[in-house]
Amino acid sequence: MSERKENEIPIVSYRTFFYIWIALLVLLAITVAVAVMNAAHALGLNLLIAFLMAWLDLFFFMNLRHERLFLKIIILLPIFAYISIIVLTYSDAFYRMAG
Amino acid sequence: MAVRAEAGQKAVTARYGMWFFLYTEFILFGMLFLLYSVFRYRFPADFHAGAMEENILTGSVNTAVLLTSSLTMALAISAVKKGNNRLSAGLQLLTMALGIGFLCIKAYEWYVKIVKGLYPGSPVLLKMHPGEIIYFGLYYTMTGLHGLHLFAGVAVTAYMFYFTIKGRISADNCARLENTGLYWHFVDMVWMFLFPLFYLIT
Repeated sequence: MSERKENEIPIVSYRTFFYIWIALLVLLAITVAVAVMNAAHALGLNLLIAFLMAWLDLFFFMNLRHERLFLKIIILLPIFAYISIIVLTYSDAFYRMAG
Repeated sequence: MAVRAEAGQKAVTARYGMWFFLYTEFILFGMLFLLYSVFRYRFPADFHAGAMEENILTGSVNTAVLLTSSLTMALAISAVKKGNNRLSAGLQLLTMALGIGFLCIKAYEWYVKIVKGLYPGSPVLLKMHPGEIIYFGLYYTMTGLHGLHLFAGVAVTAYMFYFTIKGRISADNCARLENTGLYWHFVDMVWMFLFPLFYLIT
């Protein structure tokens, strides 16, 4: 029984989901405003907001925060590896251009 | 008690299986995002010109629709866990309606582009710069693949709706609905990156 409880996703309140939804809509409004106003570093800001939205989706709507540490590592490690590959690809391209 | 523990273990196994399936989906979309970033880096001016064809308003409305569908799906799962199958069924219906609404708006966007002659292999597109041809190729591939995934999500949710109204999904047996929710939220997450890359970062 205790093993089942440990692995079970608890019931998340409706209010929590509403708060997350509002946060996502606010982030959507900010990211659109950044693009429309053509703000400095818009590219970086838009991507940062996209990652923030994905984090909220992953941890709250997909309940990753209630999963065991093992699964969290398994899920987040390839995402980290993927981002590293992109960063390294761009670093390599910049290095070649500078050369 | 042993039966309940076994059922709980089966639900956990099913959930882990779903996470690993989403893994493969991550690789599929991840490679397309990598391809996008490489070509965007190679043809920055052409990608800028291509992105100017996008309508930020319809893209933003569509994003809000999809975010709301994620909310209704999450609420549907909580409702069934609280034993309220009727509310859950209603929320699943709303989730499907929002998903179809997203697809309709996306179809309208495609229609506007196709009328302008901006579709793969069209004479108008073939006269454009190589970077713009690649941009629209990626646009149709990535948004089309995402749309197909969303359509599959609507179909699976319809199946879950049937199970819910028949009482085959309940507070003690809702792993299938939870896994459908995981898939739905993943498809939503993919759009969170498609939206800025095609509509905002010009």
